[in-house]
Amino acid sequence: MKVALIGLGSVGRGVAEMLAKKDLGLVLTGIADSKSAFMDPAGIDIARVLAHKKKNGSCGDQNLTAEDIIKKADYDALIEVTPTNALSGEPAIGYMKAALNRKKHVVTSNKGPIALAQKELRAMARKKGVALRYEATVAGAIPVMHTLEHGLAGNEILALYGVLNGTCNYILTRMAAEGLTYEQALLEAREMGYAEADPTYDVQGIDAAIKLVILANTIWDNGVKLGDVDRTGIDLLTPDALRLADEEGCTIRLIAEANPKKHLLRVSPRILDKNHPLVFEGTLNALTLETDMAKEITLIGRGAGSIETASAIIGDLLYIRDRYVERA
Amino acid sequence: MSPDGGRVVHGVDYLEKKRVSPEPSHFLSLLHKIKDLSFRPCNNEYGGFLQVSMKLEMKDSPGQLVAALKPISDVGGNIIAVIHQRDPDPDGDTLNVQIVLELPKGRLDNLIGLLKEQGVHIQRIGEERLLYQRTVILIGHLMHTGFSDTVDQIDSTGFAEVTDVAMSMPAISDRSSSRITIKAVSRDDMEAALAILRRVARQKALLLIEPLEDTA
Repeated sequence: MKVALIGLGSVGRGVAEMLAKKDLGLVLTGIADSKSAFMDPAGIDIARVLAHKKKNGSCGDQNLTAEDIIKKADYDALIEVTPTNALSGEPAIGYMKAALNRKKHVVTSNKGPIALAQKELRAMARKKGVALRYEATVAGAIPVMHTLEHGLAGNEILALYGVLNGTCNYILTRMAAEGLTYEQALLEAREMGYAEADPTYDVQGIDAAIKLVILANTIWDNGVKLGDVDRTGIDLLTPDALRLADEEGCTIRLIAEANPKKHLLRVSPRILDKNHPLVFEGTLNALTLETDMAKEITLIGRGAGSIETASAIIGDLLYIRDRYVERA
Repeated sequence: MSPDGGRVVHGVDYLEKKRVSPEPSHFLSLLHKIKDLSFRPCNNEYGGFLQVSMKLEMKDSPGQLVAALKPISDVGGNIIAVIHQRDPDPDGDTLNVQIVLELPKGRLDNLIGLLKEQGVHIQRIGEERLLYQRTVILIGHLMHTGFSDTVDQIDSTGFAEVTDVAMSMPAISDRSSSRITIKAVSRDDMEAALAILRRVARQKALLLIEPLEDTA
């Protein structure tokens, strides 16, 4: 199967490295970053392109753009991993539409477009008879979408709750373990590379809320938007609050939860028993699904990282290959 | 002293001193009478009624629970809450149920007799009536916004009360943190109490951290 890769940040690089390293039967025929692009229907020498990018800051021909690759390159599936824009979803939404219009499958890790335009993009993919897959948008490497779609097929999902932001989990872990203030723990998270220069998206629960919106729309197709999420962040927590919880054998975690029957769509810091399955240290993510037949299922794993996110993207690509491309 | 040198106050004693008296009305004074008595580990009496909690064991067969509860209305009592025990009996042939009820004074012996006739075994009687407990954390300018008023809003309901408070106040201008334990008669009453607390927290710009319960 031929694939084109748009975006060469941390996730794009992880995908490219794994395509080069592993014999997956996936041939890269187009690649683009924000400044340049390159295509070769016979297959791109990934190692050479990555070396060029490292040396010159761009991956290919400065006269070519991502649009050129999407509209002209020879590929079966587009891998869309450009930086996310939670407000407009662009330019990624435009990229995905252009690929779907050409009856190309789309695989993305881009949360903004899927939170904003999931319904429209899914309808478009259905109409064109191709797949739109976005496993990597929620909880990194954890196969949430595959579990929902296959492992739990036929189950009614009654509710879900989980830890969907590793940065917040790290900060809360450090506040509880060392009695750090929120500001101290945030500084430490930055030094470790777990927090962005502007931590707003993470610490105010926006990132977790976006993932909650994606999950809710995927499971219940209820058209909820980011503004519908009742959201409280962790930036006003005190070390004393964590100590008071600790005295009772509990701790505090940022929990995203959805329960359509209770009209609940919320991201908020919550008190949990230390033995609760959603209490773990560091940057991990986890999600508990409550279903009618299987009852509770909890998935725990890496929620971010270059290779970890590539794992989710490659899982989607191989699913498409097995389901659509090889069969055709 | 807390690690950062702040002041820590534990327990209800502190609140009792600060507690504001409620408006004197017959209804409220009745509610408060129930509340005050509820701390006693034995039966609670108020007005012409007695409030009791019982742990019952009966045969797990169809209609048995209804039959067991019938004597309560026969003696003129009201059921306040029925709580099934979560872990089933390993043999699976008996059912354990905890109930909170009120009944006219002097009828308790009568009720016990009727229950025995139904083949119901009374395991315990006269436990604390507030069976549901939740612990929350409140962060913000707790004293400036009237902490005793915050607590009173729960206590004055009559169906829920604040039974324990731990507080930490680092400095006068900093936000304080408190851990508040609430007890209530039933799950619905607990939900109602938490709804009040959510409203108060919003009005006073306090951060309320609730426990995570299984949501479905």
